[in-house]
Amino acid sequence: MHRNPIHFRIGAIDLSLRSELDEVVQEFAALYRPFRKDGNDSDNSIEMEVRSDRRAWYGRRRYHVFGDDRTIGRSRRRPEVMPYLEWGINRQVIARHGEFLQVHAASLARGNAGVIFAANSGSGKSTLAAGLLSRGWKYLSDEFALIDAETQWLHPFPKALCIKSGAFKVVEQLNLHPWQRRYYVKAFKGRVGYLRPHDVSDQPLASPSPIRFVIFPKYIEGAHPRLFPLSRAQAAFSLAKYVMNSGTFGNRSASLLADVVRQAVCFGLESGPLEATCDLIESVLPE
Amino acid sequence: MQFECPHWTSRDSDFIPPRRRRDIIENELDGEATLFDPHNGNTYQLNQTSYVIWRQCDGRTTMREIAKCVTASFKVDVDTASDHVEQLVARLAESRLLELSEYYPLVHS
Repeated sequence: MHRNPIHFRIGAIDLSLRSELDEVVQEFAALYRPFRKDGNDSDNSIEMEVRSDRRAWYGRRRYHVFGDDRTIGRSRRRPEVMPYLEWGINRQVIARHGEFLQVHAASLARGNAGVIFAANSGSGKSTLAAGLLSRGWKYLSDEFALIDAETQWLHPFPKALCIKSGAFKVVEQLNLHPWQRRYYVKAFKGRVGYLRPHDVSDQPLASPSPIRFVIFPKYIEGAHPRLFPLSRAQAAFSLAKYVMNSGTFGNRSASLLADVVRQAVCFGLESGPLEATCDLIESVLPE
Repeated sequence: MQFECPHWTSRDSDFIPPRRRRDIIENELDGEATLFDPHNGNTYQLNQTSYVIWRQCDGRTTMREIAKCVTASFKVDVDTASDHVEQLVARLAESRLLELSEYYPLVHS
């Protein structure tokens, strides 16, 4: 028998989690404690569920993760459950929240200025976001930026930052540690840990913010960090590669991206050591 | 379907008036532009010179005339401008951003 769901509002996104597995529910609830709410007051809440089965008394338990009743993933390994949940939530946000143009990017705010860091996985977005967050920047999102299609403002979706094993040491140098020093396994990406924004800073969350900067980071090991200006056409062209729900907007998506960059200053970034990269960014982006 | 990139002769450019596809969505940004092809979802980026050429692809202005316009706007000699126009028109045609039917057979006849 499944227990009652628990509900969250993570920035602009409402979701609930239901599971017969107490430890999964408690773990997720602890990771997202600041975003817990009492009941479901939304008619567009994403419904996540984790079930488990065991084919025979001697068999290993198998976990099934569902998003809105559709299978997201299944695994026999407990450390894969949380990453599947996280991934499933992202997938359902893409499917359900067509009011936002969704760009594969981390997004933060400095003062009232929203900043998008758009890049492929493994480019150092989350690590950079953690570094800037530790310097007092405000957090909007990690995996993807939610851009209101009407206003072109960034909206928050402040999920825990997913730090990959290659960046553990860098993050530890900031005296930050993955939540409860727990490590998970994400398919294809190996070991990951989650960094709660509230563990990095006392008041980490940003309100919806106008986009003033668009940056395309690329981590190059040992590189001297370098910011170089991009024309708005270059930025719109590059940003198009990172739109995750272009099908929702069809022919409008190109014009929306143009509107996004019209209000922004755009840069390419070759990032190197985290502190030096953050120094460079702060020297160019006024508070 | 294979598509052969056109190779212009200098004489071609005297009379070929390339025409941009009317369904292409263009967004001008500081004199440069992005083009979006709704048929395949591809996005293209044009720098300032390319955007000037693109805007001249109206189906009436020949490549030679476009090159003269580029010469006036960007202070390059007409041969350089002609080369640039011919190369860009070929690339735009290759990407199927131009309506070729009216003049393409002439080039290969």
